[in-house]
Amino acid sequence: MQKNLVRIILIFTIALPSTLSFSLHDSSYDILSEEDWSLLRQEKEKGTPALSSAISDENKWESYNEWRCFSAKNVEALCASVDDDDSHLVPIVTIQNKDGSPGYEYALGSEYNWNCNKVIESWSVLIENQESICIHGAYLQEDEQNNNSLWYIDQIKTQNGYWKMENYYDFLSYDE
Amino acid sequence: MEKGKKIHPWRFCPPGRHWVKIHPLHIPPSNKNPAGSETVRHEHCADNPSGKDQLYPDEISEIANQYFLKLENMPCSIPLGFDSGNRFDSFISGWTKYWNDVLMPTEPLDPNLIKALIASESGFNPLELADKKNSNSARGLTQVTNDTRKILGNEKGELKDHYLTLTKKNLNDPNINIAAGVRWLFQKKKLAEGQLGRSVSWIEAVAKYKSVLKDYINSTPKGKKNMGPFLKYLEELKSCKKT
Repeated sequence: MQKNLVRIILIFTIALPSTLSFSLHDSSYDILSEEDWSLLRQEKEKGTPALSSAISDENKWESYNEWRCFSAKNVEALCASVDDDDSHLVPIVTIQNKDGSPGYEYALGSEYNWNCNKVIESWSVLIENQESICIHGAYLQEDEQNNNSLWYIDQIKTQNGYWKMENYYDFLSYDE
Repeated sequence: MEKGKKIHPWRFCPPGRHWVKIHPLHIPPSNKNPAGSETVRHEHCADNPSGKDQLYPDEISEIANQYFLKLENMPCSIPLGFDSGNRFDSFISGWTKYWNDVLMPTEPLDPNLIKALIASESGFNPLELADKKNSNSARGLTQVTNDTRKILGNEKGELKDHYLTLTKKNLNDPNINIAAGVRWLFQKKKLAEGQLGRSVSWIEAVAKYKSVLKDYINSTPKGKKNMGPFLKYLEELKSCKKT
């Protein structure tokens, strides 16, 4: 059954002008509250970047979560497999532009044993009939081969509500 | 991240974070991306949402690869009558040291006790499954059950910190199984102390691990039967240490 989940692809189509860019646009202000915007400040005050280099890494780096909002018509949510293992699936969101400009690949952590189908279903409820989707996530690296920017998801928000990583327990497979 | 908290020198990330190794993600074909694609995500440390300490299988494996080759305080290298009796000594020594360092018991855990525990639980068979018809039954070298596996990773459960998030399959890996079994023995010691209202010995903790604490203390036939092989192996290992 998990194998079939790889093929589960939810495409969220809405009628928006194709000129909407990947960067924050006016509609983000309809979605994000002041509290949402304050998350970055809070994380920086606490000194808790979402991602960082390993202790032994000579090139120290850290990456904080930040909000980015996208036209939902460019968004796909699907299950990617890790290390060619179809039983190890990770929910991801991809954002691609038809004009060939760089895309985004937002993923959840591969170290968790996700119930990928359950995550995708919850995301589809959030994104259904929405014009825009905002993702709170941390930048990892560029993927030059695929012209993509790779990120990790902390929260997703639309006018339908939130998905938050802090509730990840509800989306894990405990029996495997 | 919990600032001011120390991290064990073998760990790869600061406190409250966990290590993620470099790994490929295979993106399946879709309408928007008919060819599919593969991306490779670099090694990094990720924040634990709770800020607590979590060990994941990749870091458990990498710690053993990097630090378990030259360890002191190895268990006695006698095979106790098993073909694989000495095969896991470095994992036993490494994880005993690690959890002693992290959980700092008043009386440090002796690696010989873990070796005797493994001998009595699985006879050093990493694929041992207590009930062949039940995949949730006790599994691997230290016979960790599926319920225990869930407790070890559950930040909302009985452990207060220092979790291991594992799959059933992981429990057949000798290194990961020993990391989990030793952590669970520390928890059983804590539970036994709560049950008896006093500090308990590591042997009593093993009795709790084997669910025969009261029988062992009261020297019932059940207690003797369940603890007998373990005590015999431990005696052999301790005698060996003296020579």
